[in-house]
Amino acid sequence: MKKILDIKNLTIDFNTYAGRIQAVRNISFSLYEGEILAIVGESGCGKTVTSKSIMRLLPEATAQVNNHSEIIFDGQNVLKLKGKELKKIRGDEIAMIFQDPMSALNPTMKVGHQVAESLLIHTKITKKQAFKEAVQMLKLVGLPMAEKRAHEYPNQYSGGMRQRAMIAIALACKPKILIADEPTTALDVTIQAQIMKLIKTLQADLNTAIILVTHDLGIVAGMADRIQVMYAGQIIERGVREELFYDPQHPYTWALLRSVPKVSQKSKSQLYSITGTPPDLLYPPKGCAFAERCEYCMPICRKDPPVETIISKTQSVNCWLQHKDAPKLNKPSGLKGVIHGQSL
Amino acid sequence: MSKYMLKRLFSMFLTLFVVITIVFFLIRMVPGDPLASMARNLPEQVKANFYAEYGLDKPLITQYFIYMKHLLHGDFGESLVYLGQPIKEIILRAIPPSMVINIHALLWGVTTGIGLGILAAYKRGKWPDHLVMFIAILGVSIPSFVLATALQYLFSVQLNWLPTIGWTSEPGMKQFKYSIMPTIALSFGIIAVYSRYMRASVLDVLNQDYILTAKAKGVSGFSLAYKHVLRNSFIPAITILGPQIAGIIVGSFVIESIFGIPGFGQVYVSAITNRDFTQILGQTVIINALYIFSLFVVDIVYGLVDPRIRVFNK
Amino acid sequence: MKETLILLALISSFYLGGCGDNVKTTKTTKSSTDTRMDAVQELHAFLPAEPKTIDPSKVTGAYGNAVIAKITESLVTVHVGPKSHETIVPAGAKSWTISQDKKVYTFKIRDMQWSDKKAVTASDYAYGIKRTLNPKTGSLYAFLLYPIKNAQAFNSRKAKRDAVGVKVLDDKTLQITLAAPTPYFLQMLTNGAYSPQRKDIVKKFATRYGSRGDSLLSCGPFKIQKWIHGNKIIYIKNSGYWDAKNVHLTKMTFTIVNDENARMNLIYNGNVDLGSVSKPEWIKKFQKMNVFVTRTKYMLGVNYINFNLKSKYFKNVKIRKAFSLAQNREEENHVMYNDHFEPAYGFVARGISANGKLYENEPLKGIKDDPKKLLKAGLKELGLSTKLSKVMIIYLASGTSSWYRHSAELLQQSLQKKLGITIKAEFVEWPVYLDRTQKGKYDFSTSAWSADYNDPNTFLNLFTSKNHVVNTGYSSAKYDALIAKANNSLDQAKRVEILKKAENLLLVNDAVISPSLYRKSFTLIRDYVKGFNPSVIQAYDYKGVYLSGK
Repeated sequence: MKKILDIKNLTIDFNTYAGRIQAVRNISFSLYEGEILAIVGESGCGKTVTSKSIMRLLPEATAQVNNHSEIIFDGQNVLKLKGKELKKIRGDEIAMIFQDPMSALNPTMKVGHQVAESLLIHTKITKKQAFKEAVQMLKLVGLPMAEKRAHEYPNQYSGGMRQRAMIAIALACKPKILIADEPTTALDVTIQAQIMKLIKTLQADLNTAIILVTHDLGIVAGMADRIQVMYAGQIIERGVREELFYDPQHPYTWALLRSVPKVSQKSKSQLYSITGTPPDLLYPPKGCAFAERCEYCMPICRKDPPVETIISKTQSVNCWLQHKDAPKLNKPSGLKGVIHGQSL
Repeated sequence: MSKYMLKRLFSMFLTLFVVITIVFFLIRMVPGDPLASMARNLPEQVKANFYAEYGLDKPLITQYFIYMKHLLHGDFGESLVYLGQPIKEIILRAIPPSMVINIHALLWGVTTGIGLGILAAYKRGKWPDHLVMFIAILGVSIPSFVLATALQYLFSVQLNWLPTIGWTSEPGMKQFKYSIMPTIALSFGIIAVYSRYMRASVLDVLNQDYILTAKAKGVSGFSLAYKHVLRNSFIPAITILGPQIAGIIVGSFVIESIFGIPGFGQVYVSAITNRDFTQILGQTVIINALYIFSLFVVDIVYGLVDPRIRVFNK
Repeated sequence: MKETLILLALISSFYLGGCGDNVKTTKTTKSSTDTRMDAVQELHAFLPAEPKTIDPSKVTGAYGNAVIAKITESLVTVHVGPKSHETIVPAGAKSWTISQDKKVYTFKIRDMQWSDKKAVTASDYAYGIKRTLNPKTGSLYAFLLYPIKNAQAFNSRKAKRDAVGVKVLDDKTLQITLAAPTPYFLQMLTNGAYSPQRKDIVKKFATRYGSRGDSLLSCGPFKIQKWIHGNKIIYIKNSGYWDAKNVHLTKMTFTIVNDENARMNLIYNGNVDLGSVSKPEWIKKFQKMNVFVTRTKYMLGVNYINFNLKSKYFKNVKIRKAFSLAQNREEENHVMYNDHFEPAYGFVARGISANGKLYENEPLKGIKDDPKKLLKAGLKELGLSTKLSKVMIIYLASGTSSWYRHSAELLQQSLQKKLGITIKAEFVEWPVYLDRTQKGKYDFSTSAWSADYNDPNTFLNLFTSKNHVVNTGYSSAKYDALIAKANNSLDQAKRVEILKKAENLLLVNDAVISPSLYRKSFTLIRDYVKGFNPSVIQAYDYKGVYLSGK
């Protein structure tokens, strides 16, 4: 498969009144044509910052991307692009959908126009044609009565319809990459499934690569080809779906999996939750960032950052437990079966 | 739509009726009558004659019904201080000067204020922003009468460029000259308010997700500012525009007094000090009608800009 | 009180000039001997407020009277001669006779015309007077006509119109019969309320009569070209006026300016040719410019303390007198008015004349009694404790602005210092003040009074029992008898003596009020304005004024 996005040594800091927050700490990963890559983690782990940085949507005044960082798309470093070149990529090559469709649509602009807008920017067509195509796009995302609805404003749409419209906007120019940042978090559970299904169908039709940013492993289970788990601004484990679900290596991944509700679970039994809070990224810990919350924490964990251990061609993990001197553990029970709980 | 309109219209008239009634009785509870405009007390006999001539000797409730009856026929009555002058004429005479000054001030103030506000928001934290905010603080903290007097001193007394005070009812160069200083004095505060409002509003909009959406689409520059930022930023500004539309006619007492402009505000305040009952009531009716109407207009304009609150759609 | 002060200050701008030695003209300008008239004779001045009406029967204040004076010809007018000596001279009446008993005046009306070319007749004067007196007119100054026989009765609906002592003997002869000999009657005729009026015009305009510039005719030196309400009044010379050759100004523009600073700027800039100034700092500034003639004159007004004779302490005359003697008039003049007024030891304002001479009487001058002793004696008489620190009296101020607070503070301090008691001040708005004092709900307060006509009676008549204009609760048969006796007296010299006796009774024996200051006014006139010579009280018609060297 062809690599279409290559991220190397991405480091992003935020300058705040309190100090410098190290939101993303030297991560590298690639995206391949037509695949769905899920970035999973708790809120504040840097997954949204990472995704926004790909489109250069971070506030320039506060967000500082390290000079050594590279985001290579189509042979060029996105981080170095200016004006027109950047404009060319945004919306046309890479598109994005946001978490809250309520606020992500311009309230004073007809939805049809909002969809048509990117077409007008990136293709040479008339306003009329663009609007027509926008209606087609809205039909494609399953918006009922798209011709009429295209003339309406976002406030006249339901939440699900808005997210469909967002998808229409994002896919209008048939981008090579779609970044979906928690696309269903703000929606009802029933709508969530519909939207995810829509994204998956369209992805298959348009052969778009997707970066799916989410905190919800349940969603990931049904969608992602590959998964990377982020914690405190770093990628701590990555692998193809099956590896991550059937053979997770990092205690944080274990904890994440255990906290997903399962169909088989008895309604009264309490859901697993991870104790403690993620570290303060103003002052990231010297050793493993997860050490403070880790049930299997060893002295070395607090002292030195763990190195990456390659498990397979596709799977790797950053954890001291992989060290040859580390005690051999039995993985906690209750991990298996998660994947079956979700409809694939 | 028509049902809504009717309901709205009815509540407008009801509000007006209640206000008139309250004001009618309230001003009578305050000590003093039109003769309090005299610097001295007068012999009982001439006072009695005056009250009888102007119907002030009748029971208050009778006076109220007489007044309401006349009002229903569109008759505001006659001034009790400027004897023989119909209220309608006094009001009609007072409106044009106020309107000229206030329209000038509003147009100048709102456009400048909005422009400065946008500039400040886009240059946030840089010197244009600091300058605009400095102007805004001055505009809010310097009372208009201080500015007015300062302007008079500078442009009339020192430089002798503009007439100190005065007014002419004929539009033209002379009227324009008379209107310059009051316009500046009045618009300064408006600029301050609108620049602050607009700055805050633009900054707020710039933080909205739909701006990210637009950027993610590749929208940039003028198109982003115009279609996505400004249109949404205008909404809060429109809310404060409402009372100001009414203010166009109602005018500003202080400025009108300092520059000798025979406008609505000046007339109203003197009516209150003079206890000119019919005059106070007449102007109260006009002011309230204007405010109620302007809020109505604002609702409509609001809807034009912001589809979320479009009241006539369904 | 605030309004009073302002009004009094404003009156001065129309009643410019003076009487006897009371006008002091300070020349602070380059000397100009050029008396040739300029080609352009257009005067610019200001009015501090819009006239409420110019209907001569309804007019109430100085502003309205100022307009009427310019456009109507009163029966008689005041001529101001050398040394500001004032004499009554013919105007609308070319001559008159007075009966032996001083009660019947017969006027021969001059041949003159209204601005619509119709002749002015005796009937026009008679109609004007009777219209003012008609209760249905609701005239507030009708009381100025009460000296006429049956006038008060007609005004009070107790007599018929025909009973009023005003008769038209023929087209050009008017006879007025008085109820009692009134030595100042001719003086009173200069008031607008006595103006001739045209019945057809009054009927034509009905309630609008006098509310617009074009709603009444002129028979005076000027006519109104335009009255733009709230803005300005423009006069032009009335070419049909009988004495047009002595009217030099072709146009006068009076801009209406409510704001004092704006008015001062107009004077400073030369946008107006003259104007009255009340603030000492402005007077000083203008005088330094060396282009003004300053006219100082008595305003025929007096500030005074009035006691409520029905209140706990002031029902006692000794306590009232103690207050009167304790008052520090010099200090008040200095602190509040920069010594621009004059301490008053009499109630009849300085500048008032009687029997052709200045009326001078200051009964409180030279009384050396100890106010504290008087106060204690008074308290004893009332059967109250003489412990002065326990006495608390409330002063009612007629305004709430800082000026009133300042002046009340001063009064409190000086009274407390001299009397050793506690004075508290209560501040209310003017209409509330009027209401409270009328109903007698106060201990003591300050007031001002200005003359309606140039005679001591305009002051002294206020405190007769029948007069309820100022409610002190004072009622003295002795005082009433003195005033009546004076006004029925045919011997002028004797009359003045009786009036002085009455004033002494009012201020010393009964101590009903305590005068504080005589008011004065200042008018600054550009030195190119010539012939400006108004009388002490009549509204000025600007007849002899001209510009030379503007």
